Amino acid sequence: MKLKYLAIFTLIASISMVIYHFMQKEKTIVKWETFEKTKKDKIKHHKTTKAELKKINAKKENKRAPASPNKPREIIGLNQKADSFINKPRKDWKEKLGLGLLNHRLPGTKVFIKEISGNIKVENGKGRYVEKVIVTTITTDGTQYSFNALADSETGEVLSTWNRTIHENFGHRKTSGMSASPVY
Amino acid sequence: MKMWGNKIQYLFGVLFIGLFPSCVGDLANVSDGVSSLTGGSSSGSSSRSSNSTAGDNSVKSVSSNNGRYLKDNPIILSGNYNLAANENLGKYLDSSEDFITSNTTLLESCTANGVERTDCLAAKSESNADFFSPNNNMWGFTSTSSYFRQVQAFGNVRDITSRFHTDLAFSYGYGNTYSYQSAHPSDLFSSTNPAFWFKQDSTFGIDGTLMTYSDCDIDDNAFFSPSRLEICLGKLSQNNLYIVTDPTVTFHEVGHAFNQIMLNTRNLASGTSFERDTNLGYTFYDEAGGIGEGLADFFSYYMNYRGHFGEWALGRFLSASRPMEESDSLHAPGVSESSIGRVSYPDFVPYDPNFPSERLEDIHFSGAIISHFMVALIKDVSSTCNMSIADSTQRVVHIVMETFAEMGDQTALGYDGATEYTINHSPDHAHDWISTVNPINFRSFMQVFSKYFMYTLGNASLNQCNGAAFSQTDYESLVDDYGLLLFKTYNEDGNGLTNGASGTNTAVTASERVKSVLIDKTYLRLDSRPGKPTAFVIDDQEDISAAMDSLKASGQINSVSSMIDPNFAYNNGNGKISPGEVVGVSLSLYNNSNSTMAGVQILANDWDHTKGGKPCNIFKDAWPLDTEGAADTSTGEGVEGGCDYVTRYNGSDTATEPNEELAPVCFVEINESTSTQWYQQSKLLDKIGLDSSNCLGGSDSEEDCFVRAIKGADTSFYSIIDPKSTWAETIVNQNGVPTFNFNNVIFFEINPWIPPGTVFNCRMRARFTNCDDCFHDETTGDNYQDYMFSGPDPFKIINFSFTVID
Repeated sequence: MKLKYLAIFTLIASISMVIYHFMQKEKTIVKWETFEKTKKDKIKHHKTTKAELKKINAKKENKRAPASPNKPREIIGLNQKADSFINKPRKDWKEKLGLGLLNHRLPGTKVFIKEISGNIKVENGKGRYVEKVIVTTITTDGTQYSFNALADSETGEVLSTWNRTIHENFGHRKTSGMSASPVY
Repeated sequence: MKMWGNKIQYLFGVLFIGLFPSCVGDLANVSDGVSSLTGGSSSGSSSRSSNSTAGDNSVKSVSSNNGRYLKDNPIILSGNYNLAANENLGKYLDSSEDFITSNTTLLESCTANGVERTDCLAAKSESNADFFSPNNNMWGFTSTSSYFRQVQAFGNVRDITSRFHTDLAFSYGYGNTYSYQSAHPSDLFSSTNPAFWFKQDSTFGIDGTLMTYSDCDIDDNAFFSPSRLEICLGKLSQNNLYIVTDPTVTFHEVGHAFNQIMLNTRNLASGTSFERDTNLGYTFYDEAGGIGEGLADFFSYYMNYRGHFGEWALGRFLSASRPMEESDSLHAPGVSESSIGRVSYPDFVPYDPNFPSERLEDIHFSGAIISHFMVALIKDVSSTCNMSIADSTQRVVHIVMETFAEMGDQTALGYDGATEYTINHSPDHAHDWISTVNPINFRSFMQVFSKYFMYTLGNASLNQCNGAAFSQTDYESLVDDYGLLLFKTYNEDGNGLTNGASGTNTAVTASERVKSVLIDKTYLRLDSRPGKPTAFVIDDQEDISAAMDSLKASGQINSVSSMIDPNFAYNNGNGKISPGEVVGVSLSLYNNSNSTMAGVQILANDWDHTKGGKPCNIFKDAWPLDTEGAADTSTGEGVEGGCDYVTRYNGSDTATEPNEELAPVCFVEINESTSTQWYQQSKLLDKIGLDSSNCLGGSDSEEDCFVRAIKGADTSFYSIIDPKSTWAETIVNQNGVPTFNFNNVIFFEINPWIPPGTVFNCRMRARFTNCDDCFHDETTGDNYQDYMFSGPDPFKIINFSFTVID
C-alpha cells in the first residue's frame, strides 16, 4: 500500500515539475518590441505579441537567462580608453530607434527590435554609449529581413548595420522595377 | 519575492494535477505544440520491428535515439528526374537506421578538435513552435509529417556541421604541423572562447545556436539570417513541396553559415568585441555575394561529390537548379571541361544555365564560376596527387578556410605574430575596407586562395602532392582556364604600411595568363559618345519611396536625412535633380577597350582629395583648374597634408596626421565677381546665409550639407560591361532595355534649401576587378598597400556634374 502511495506521489511530483518547467518557460521575458507606422503616418509601439512573433519567425527564447539590466557594457574595438563621453544613455533610446527605423518607410510597415547588449564605442578618446540590437522587418511584398544594428544610446540613431539576411528567392527574377531617365 | 512567486506557482501546479490529473497529458502536448509525440503511433513501444523497410519509417521501426532521413535528394535517390511532388519519400530512406540524438529534443552540441560547444545547432518546425520530444527518443516518423521534416533538417545540418568541424580541425592541425604562415588563430579551439562556431555569451543572452526551421512559412524561398542565426526552409508555392526534403538546399544554406564562421574566426578568437561581424556581400549584387553563393553551392558537392545542386526542390519544378561541372548536360552548347569551354570569368558572370540566352545580374549565377573552379580543382588535385576525392576535397576546403580566416580578419594582422597590419587596413577601418573600400572580389579571393594553395599543395618543401609539389604552372593554367588569373603576384608581403610594398613575392607566370584579361583603367570612362547619356536618374516618388523602404528594410542603409520629406513629396519624377529629392544616379560608364570589363564598382564615399578644404587637381582627372579653386600645390607637398600624400590612417589619426582628412565627393560651384570657383559645400551655407542645422547631416556635417550620398547606398556595382559598350547596353532584358536594380544606383539626398540653378560636381572613384592598375602596381605587380585606397591611385576618377533644377 505504502509503495502505491509512494508511486502516486512520485508521479504527481514528476508531473508537477514538468508543469513548473513549462510555466517557467512561458514566463521568459519576450525581448522583442514592435514599432508600427500606421497609414496615417503615426508611429505605434508595443511589446511584440505572440502572433507577431510567429509572423516574423522569432526564435522562441530558450532556457538561457535574458540579458540583465545591470549587464556590463563591453567596449567595442581595440581603443579601450575613453577620456570623456559624447552622450548619455536614455531610457527612450529604443523608442527613438524605432521611430528612426520607420522614417521614410512605407505606411503599414512594422519593425521589431530586440535588444542584445549595451556597449561603449571609443573614437579619438571619446566614448559613446551604444546599443547592439537585432532588427526584423517585413516589407510590403512580404519579404522578411533581419540585421544587426548599432544604435546611439541617447538618440537611437543607427550608426551601423551588419549581418543582413541572405535570401535565395528560387526561380524569382527579382528586379526593382525602377524607371530611369537618361541624362545627357 | 520572486522565489515566493515560484513556490506559489509550484504549489498551484501540484494542486492542479491533484484535481485534474487527466488534463496533464493534454497540457504537455499543447505546450509542446504537437498533438502526438509518436508520429502517429500511439503505442510508445521501444521495440523495433524486425521487418522494417525503408518505406516504413514509423516509430516502431527504429530503436531509441534513432530515426531516418534523406541523405541526398529524392531525384538522385530514385534515379527518376520526373518524380512527382507528392511522391512517398519514405521509399527513398535507407532501411538501416541513423543515430539522431540521445537528447530529448533536436538540440545538439558540437565537438571540434576535442572541444565541445553546447547548444550548437537545433531544428524545429517553425520559429514559434516548441521543440518536440518523442516517446523513448525514437525519431522515426512518416515522411509526410512535420516531425520527419524536423529530423530531416536536423540530420542534414548535424552531418555537414560534423564534417565541417572535422575539416576545420584538420586545417588547423595542418597549419600547425607544416611550416607556412597559417591564418588560423591559435585560439581557434579555445575552450573559453571557441571560434569554430557562432559566439555564445550567456551574459547577454546570446545562445549562439544555429536554428533550422523545416516548415518555414515562406514560398519559393529559403534564407540564412546571420543576425538571428536561423536557417529558414520554406516550400514551393506551386505544389507545397517542402524544400527541406532536398538536403542539397539545406547544405547550401548551412554553407552560408560556414562562410560566416570562416570569415570571423580570427575576430572571435581575438577576444576583441568588434562593432560588426564580417559578412560576404554588401549589396544586392556584388562579387563577394557571388563568391558566397558559389561556395554555398559547393557545400552541396562537399557532402555528396556530385556536381549539381538542387535537382529536387529547385530543378524539378522551378528550373532553378545549378550545375557545378562543365560536363553537366544542363549547360549550354560549348561549355566543356576543355580550357576554352570552362565556365569562366567574366563571360559567364550573368549566365543562367537554365536560360542560357538571357543575361542576368545575380549573385547565384556569377557564383557558378567559383563552384565550378572548386570542383575542377578537387578533381585535378585528386588525379595529379593520387588522392581520393574525399582527401582532395579536404585539402581544398582547408585552403578556403585559410583564405577566409585572412580575408575577414578585422584584427587586420592576417596571421598570428604579424608585426604590422597586413590586410584590411587596420582594426579601426577593417570593416569599411571589407565592405566598401576594398571588398572581396574574384581577384582578391583568388589571389589569397592561390597563396595558400602554393603554401600547401604547391609547396616544394612540403611535397604534399604524391611526394611532390603541385606544379605552379599547372595550377595557374587551371586558374586561367576560369579567367581568374587576375593577379600578378601571390602577394606574400601583404598590404601593410611597412612591408606591403617592399617584401618578396612569388610572381605569377605571365605566359599562363591566356584567358584572363587585364585591362588598364583608362579604358573606363563616362560615356561621351554623341547622343548617349552620361547617366540615368531615378527620381519618381513611388520608385524612390519603394527603394528607400527596401534598402532600409534590408539594413543596407541606416537612415535618410530628416531634411528629406518623409513621403518623398519633393520627388517629381521629371528625370532631373531637384531640391528636396532623393535621387538614384546610375553613371553611364563606357568600356572603351576590346575586352569585357567585370566587377565595375563606383564609390561615392569620402576620400582623401582635398588640401586645406580645396580640391586637389594633381590627380589624373586634373580637376578643377587652378583658376577654378584648386588647392595650392606650390608648397606643402611631399608631407602629410599635401595633395600628393595619401593618409596612412584614413584621416582618423589627428595626432600623427593633423592635416589629413577625408572629404565628401560633391563640390559646389560658386559664382564670384570675376570667376566661378569650386568649393566644398560649407561655402554655399555662407553664401546663402543658411543655418547649418539645415544641413542634411545636421550642423556637424557642413561639407556634405546640400548633396550627400546615402551611406550604404554610396557605391554602385555593375557585373560586366561589354567591349565598346555601357552596362545599360550590356545587361538588358528581353526587350533590349536595362533593368536597374539597387546595386546599379548611388542614391543622393538633395537638400531642399539648394537655390535652383546651383551646379555641383561629384568626384567619384571607379575601378573594376579585371583591371591591371586598380589593385596592383602595373609594373611590379605588387598589391597596392591598403592605405592607398583612401586616395586616387587605385581608381579612375569620374566627375559627374549636374545642375539642381526646381
